[in-house]
Amino acid sequence: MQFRYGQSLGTLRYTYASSLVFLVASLFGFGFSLDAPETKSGKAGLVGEQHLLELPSTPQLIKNMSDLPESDFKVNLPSKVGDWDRDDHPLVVTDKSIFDYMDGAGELYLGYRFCRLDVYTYKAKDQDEIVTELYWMGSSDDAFGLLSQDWGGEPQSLTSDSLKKRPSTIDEFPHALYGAGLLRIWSRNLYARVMATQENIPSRDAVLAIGKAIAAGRTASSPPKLLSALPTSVRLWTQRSNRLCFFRSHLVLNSFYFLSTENLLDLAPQVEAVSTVFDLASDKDRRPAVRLLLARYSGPEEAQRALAHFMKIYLPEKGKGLAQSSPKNSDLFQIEDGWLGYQRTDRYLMLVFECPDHTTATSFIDAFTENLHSGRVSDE
Amino acid sequence: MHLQRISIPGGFQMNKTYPVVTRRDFVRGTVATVLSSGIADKLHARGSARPTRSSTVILVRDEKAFATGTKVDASVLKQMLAELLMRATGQKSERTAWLSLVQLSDVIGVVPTPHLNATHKELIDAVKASLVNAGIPAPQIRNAQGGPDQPRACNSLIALPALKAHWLTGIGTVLKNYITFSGSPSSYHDADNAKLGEIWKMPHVQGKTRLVLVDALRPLCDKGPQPDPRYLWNYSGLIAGTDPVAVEAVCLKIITEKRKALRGEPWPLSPPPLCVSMADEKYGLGTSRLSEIKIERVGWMQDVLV
Repeated sequence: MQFRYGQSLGTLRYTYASSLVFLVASLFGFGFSLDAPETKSGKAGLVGEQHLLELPSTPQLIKNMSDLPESDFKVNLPSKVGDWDRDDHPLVVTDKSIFDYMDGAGELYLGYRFCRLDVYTYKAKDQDEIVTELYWMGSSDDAFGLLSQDWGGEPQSLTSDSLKKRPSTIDEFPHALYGAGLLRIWSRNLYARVMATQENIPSRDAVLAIGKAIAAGRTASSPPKLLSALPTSVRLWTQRSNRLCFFRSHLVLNSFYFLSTENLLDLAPQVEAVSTVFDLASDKDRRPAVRLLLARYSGPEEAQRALAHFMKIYLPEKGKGLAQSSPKNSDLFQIEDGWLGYQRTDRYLMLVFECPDHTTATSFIDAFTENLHSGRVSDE
Repeated sequence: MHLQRISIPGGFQMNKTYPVVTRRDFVRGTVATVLSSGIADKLHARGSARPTRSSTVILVRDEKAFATGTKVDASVLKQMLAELLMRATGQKSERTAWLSLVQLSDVIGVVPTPHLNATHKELIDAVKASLVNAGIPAPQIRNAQGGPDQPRACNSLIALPALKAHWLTGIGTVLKNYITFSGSPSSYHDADNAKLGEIWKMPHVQGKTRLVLVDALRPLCDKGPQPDPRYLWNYSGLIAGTDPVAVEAVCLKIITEKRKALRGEPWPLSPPPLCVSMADEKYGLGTSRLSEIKIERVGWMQDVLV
């Protein structure tokens, strides 16, 4: 067993959690049924028919953290998959105990709107474990953001309406990716990781069967609406959608594009942000890609404050005093790694980095502005 | 600049003072100076000068380290460990190698990595058995991973981390392995990872590390934050030295080269591992410059990466 985190930790176990859950649920009038509906998932003979458990993951405790309906916090897991039997009780991890479970990795989930994590372990006599982690998030966008950390792996079709293609437009992002024993799933407000410690044919089949059970009955959702504000191409530059990431935290931003040790863009749970790269379609010289960051704040004042913060720290030599506290809505600068441009429109702030020249930086700003004014961008 | 006093159990206090580092500092090559000096006008900072150092790092690899798949072959590992110890100390036997590093009366703390890509149990067991064979009484050998009381109870420490990238610190191998010794691990996350070297200079830690021995059997080359098996590979190596920064620098090179090989283009660690150059430039724990490190390679050379 390679990955030992989460074992024998003092984290809240289901047995205790469930008592609390039932108490709270009783108070609020929720009932829990262990008579789960039939699953449509799983390879014939792989998923056991018996005792599909409707996880009591929807108590008021976490529903209060989200506007989503109760049904969005439900999933059915098989009790048996191939040779593997599921533990009856999950490890329940909250925002208070997440660092006990996964050390500093918890910062990632808290950087999105994390509600709760349920961890189930499947065990088999002569096989290594399969660990199933169900991360219940505040919105579909948050679960999408977690999957967007890495678009690598083999796209999987877990339900009839999920897409198996690699992303080419914003509507074609896969909902599940598999690689080397790990399946990662975005299913509405649920992000799931199903991992076999040792990959082989039976464990791969079992992991995918668990994935299908997770996705069963859950309708697919769309990527964050903020993505529609991104241009797909700018002159000869094409977006590499497999480098697109949705995020809300500067720690997450720094994990794929280091900007600063300080939170220069005032990122926070209520802020939506996306980053992607553009490169030249037929660039034999493999010149550095252009990096685009786009953030949407709760209002124009917040966006303006973030811009002023960015200017003060990142471009201290480009004006002092008033110029930094009330920067222009759009500007371009040549710095060490190329041309940097930005555009602040209403509550949107777009920045483009590492452009090879002034013209390219201007083109990105123009393309973004045109997108915003075209009516294609939902301001929800 | 932020300034905050943090108390560590046992009375040690550290200053939390860090200037803001930006991407531009990396492009300019002034990160070390900015971090070391904390001067306000970092735009005009230049690379700092320090005396030249030299260190030796031993890399032993054996393609048979794994019996099948990911199952370690304990007998091969034992041979690799013996070779590594003798090379690292210049001694002719495993026993004399240990006795050149520790005293028979020492309480020895073995410090493995428990999280993420954990140190292989087979390696922990092999090190303990090797110490016992060298004459160290078994009760004097303890697992010292944990809070500040762990190093306090030991005369000698053997750092035994596993090679891995880390999403909050860039690399999470040697320097980060002592993070719990601080008594305040979260104080070293995010931008504060630059100060990880500070822990090695705390009174209850400083001067106790006799050997840094890295489990590079199956490293993790992407930062996670949770293990993704696509980024694990059988490197089948052990890395050792007495200079923790030099060992970390070699580890960093291996991780960086593996990432480049996987993507077919540069794939820099992000966030950048600020802690490595800081451990050199500010805390003087060793050298982070590959030009000052002699790497002695033994055994399997395919895809050695460094």
